[in-house]
Amino acid sequence: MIAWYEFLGAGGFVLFTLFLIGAPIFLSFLIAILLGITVVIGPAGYAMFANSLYETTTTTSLASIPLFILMGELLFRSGTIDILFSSVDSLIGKIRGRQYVLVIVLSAVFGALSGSAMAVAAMLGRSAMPGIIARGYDPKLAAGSILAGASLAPIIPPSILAIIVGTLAEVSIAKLLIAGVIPGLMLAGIFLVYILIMVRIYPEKSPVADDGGRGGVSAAEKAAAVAKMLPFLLIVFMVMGLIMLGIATPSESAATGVVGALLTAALYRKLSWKMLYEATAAAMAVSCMILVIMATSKMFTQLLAFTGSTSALISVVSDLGFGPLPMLIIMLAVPFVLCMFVDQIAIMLVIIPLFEPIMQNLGFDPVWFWLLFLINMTLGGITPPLGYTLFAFKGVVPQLTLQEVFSACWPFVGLFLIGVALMVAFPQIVTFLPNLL
Amino acid sequence: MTRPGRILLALHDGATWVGYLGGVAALALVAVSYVYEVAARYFFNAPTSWASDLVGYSLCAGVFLMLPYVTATRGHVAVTLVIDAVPQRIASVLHAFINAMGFAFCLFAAWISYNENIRQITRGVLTLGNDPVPKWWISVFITFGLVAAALHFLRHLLVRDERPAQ
Repeated sequence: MIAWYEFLGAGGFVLFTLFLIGAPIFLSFLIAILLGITVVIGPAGYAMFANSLYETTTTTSLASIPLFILMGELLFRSGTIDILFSSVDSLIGKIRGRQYVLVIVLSAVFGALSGSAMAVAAMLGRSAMPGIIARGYDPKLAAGSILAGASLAPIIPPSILAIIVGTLAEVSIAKLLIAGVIPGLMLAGIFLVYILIMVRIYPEKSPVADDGGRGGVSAAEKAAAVAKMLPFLLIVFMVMGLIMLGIATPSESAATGVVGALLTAALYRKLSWKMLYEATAAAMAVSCMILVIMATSKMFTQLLAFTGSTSALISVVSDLGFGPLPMLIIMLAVPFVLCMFVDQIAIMLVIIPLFEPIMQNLGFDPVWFWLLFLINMTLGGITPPLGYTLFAFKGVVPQLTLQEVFSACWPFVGLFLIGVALMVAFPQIVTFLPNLL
Repeated sequence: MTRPGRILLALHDGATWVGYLGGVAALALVAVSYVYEVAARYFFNAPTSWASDLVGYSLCAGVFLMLPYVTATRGHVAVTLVIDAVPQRIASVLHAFINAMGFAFCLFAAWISYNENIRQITRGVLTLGNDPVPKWWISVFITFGLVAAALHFLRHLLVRDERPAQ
């Protein structure tokens, strides 16, 4: 029998080598897992592998992944999201640093309608960034605001990453989704405070008296903007409201969210069969990429148990003699650092089975711990040098160099860490809403 | 290319396209099933016994029906920073290696899945749902997806810059 450290060492080497040479993530897992089964279990394990593919892809809670992606696709492809953009723009008054405030507020709102940081970063980079630069705002502060705001999307429900974490860690997905609401809004608040302080200290970063080129918005126009936003509130209700009221499971609420997105598109006369077909096809293709990775890596947990890695790791961690707080810091630092270099989902699939028994042994609240973990994963996406969200943003903003985008992120990475420290010090920020369920 | 070769490629492309449409239909079925379930449960107090099972089966079928298309269009998530940074000659070697591995291991996984299909058929294995059906009805999509994906890796290996199968 192969020793647990040999299995982890050799398996990790094969897996990360394949990641680094550019092999598809699903293929990397497929190769590592099939080699692992052959070495550790032998041909008797092949049927277990076939069943792991079946079990993962028939897990109904994972149906929320394609459904939430479909909801976002319908809103983005139908163009209804532009109406939301315009309405929020109308409601933000004449304040210093207006465009920075606008992108943070929009990010939080989009975060409640889409679970993808990259989609929100690309969308705001394409639509808001040219106007921000043209109006004389500081491009770096704007870029940082957009990237930080976009990173709220995987925290504020719906969140694809929360569903994956919940499934892998066997934590209530409904609780994990709802747990993201207050931290997401708190982080948005921290970003806004930072921006308002920055434009006060450095007035040159924001043109004075910018009203967004609207020349003052009347009360009637503001009322109309609020009315235009109501259908989007319906979508938020059909997702979060139905979960909170116990009417629908997260997967079912994702389906009702799709209905909400369809109704919204129909209301604004932007619904067509072509758009519906393209959105469904795009959502299924993206979901296939994610779910096939999850399916091929499922056996990893069983191999860990088979080689005795799980119990050995708990023993090693216990022998270290660290208290809960240093352990928490180490366990949060690992995904943060790894996510700068490797795909978020791949990291989760490797780390969660390793962390889950350690987390239980330390006695952490599972919802609290996994939400902090999720936030760190998201943060890794905007941390130079290799955060994925950075590249999605840079791809649509040719006006900025990659170095400028990198330097724009660091203050917001610091703000995220302050937010995480607050959630560690005051766990109720995370646990208050899920405890109501 | 010979005529039989062209026919085989056309068949593979056709299977990929049918899989793509099947994947789209599967997602639509997932959405409709869940919406029907919520409406039936809360408006008519008549929960279904089949919606949850159908969602699971459709999800599995949809993922593996879509897999050949995603592989054909090189749509899989990958960390391409190293391969993008190295000289073209080394990148070509790495691409060839990845495609060869993709072909070999997807085919190996397909063979494992096929053997499991046969075992399920011969032993009459049923699904564990409320309304059980023969398990191979669902798991056969896994075999289909892996075989067709393996063949796309082979085509990427043998034919440089091949256009996606649409």
